[in-house]
Amino acid sequence: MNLQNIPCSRPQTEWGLDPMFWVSAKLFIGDLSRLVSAEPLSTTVFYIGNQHVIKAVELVGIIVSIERRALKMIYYQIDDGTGIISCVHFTTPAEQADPDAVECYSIGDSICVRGRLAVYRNQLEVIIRESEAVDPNYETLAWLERLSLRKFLATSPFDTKQ
Amino acid sequence: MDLVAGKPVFLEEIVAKGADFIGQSARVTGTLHSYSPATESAVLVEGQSALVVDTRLLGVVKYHVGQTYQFIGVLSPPTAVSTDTNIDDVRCATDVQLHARVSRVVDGLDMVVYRRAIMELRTADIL
Repeated sequence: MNLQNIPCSRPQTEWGLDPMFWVSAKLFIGDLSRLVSAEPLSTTVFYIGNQHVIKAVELVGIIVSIERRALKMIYYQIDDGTGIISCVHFTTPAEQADPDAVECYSIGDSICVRGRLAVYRNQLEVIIRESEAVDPNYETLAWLERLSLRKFLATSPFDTKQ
Repeated sequence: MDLVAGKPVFLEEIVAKGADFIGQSARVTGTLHSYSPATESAVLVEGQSALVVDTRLLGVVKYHVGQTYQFIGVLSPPTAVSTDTNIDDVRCATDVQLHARVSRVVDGLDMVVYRRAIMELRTADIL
C-alpha cells in the first residue's frame, strides 16, 4: 500500500509545530521515492503522510555501492529491500588531510544513516549527518518499527489545534 | 547503471516458482552448504530448499561452510557450468541461479523474526 502524501495546508510559519519537522523520520527507502516537494523549499523539505513535513530521515540498509569522489565526498548506495537511495558523506578538512581516518564502510555492511534530504540533479539523496554500523537483527527491528510508524504517518494529521 | 533494490525472497519460493523470478533483483538468506572455487559458485540451503549462487562478481571472499549468508543479486537462468546440488532431503532450484553482487555474513540473525517481518511487510504491500 503506497503511503498517501498529502501537502500540508498549514502556512510555512507553522511547520515547526510538527515534531516530525525536527526529527529524523524513520522511513522505508521505497517511501522516499514518492515524497511530495514542499514549495518553495522544494529541494530540502517534503510532505509525507497526512500533511506532515519532514526534512531529515533515518534509514537502515545494506551498502550496495561505494563511490569516492576525490577526497571531498563518499557516495553510499543503501538498499533496505524496498528501494535504493544515495547517501553522501562530505568529508571534513581533517578527514581530507588524513584519508585513512575516514570511517569507511564496505559493500555488504549494514548501516543506519541519519541525515537531511536534498535533491541534486533531480535525484533525491541523503546528506549524512551521522552513521553507524548495525547488526542484521537491527535491520529486521527497523523494518518492524517503520511499519508501525507508517500507520501513524498515514492516519495522524499534523493538527496545531490539538 | 541504476541499481535495483533486492527484494527479500525465501529459497522455497524460488524453488517452487523459479522461472517467475528471472530478471528480478532479490535478497536471499541461507546457510552455506558448499562453495566451489573452480566454478566460483556457492550452494545456499534454507530448510528443504537450496539455491546455487554465482559469486564471480564478489571478488575474493573467504567463505565458511555452515555460516549464514545473505546475497543480493539478480536471478537469472543457470550458466552452463554445473554445480553438484545433490543434497539429501533438499530440493534445489534448477531453472534459476542468483548472480550475486553483494554478500554478507548474517550469523546470529533471528530467522523466525526475519521471516515474520518479511511476511508483515508483504501483507502491508511494502515489499
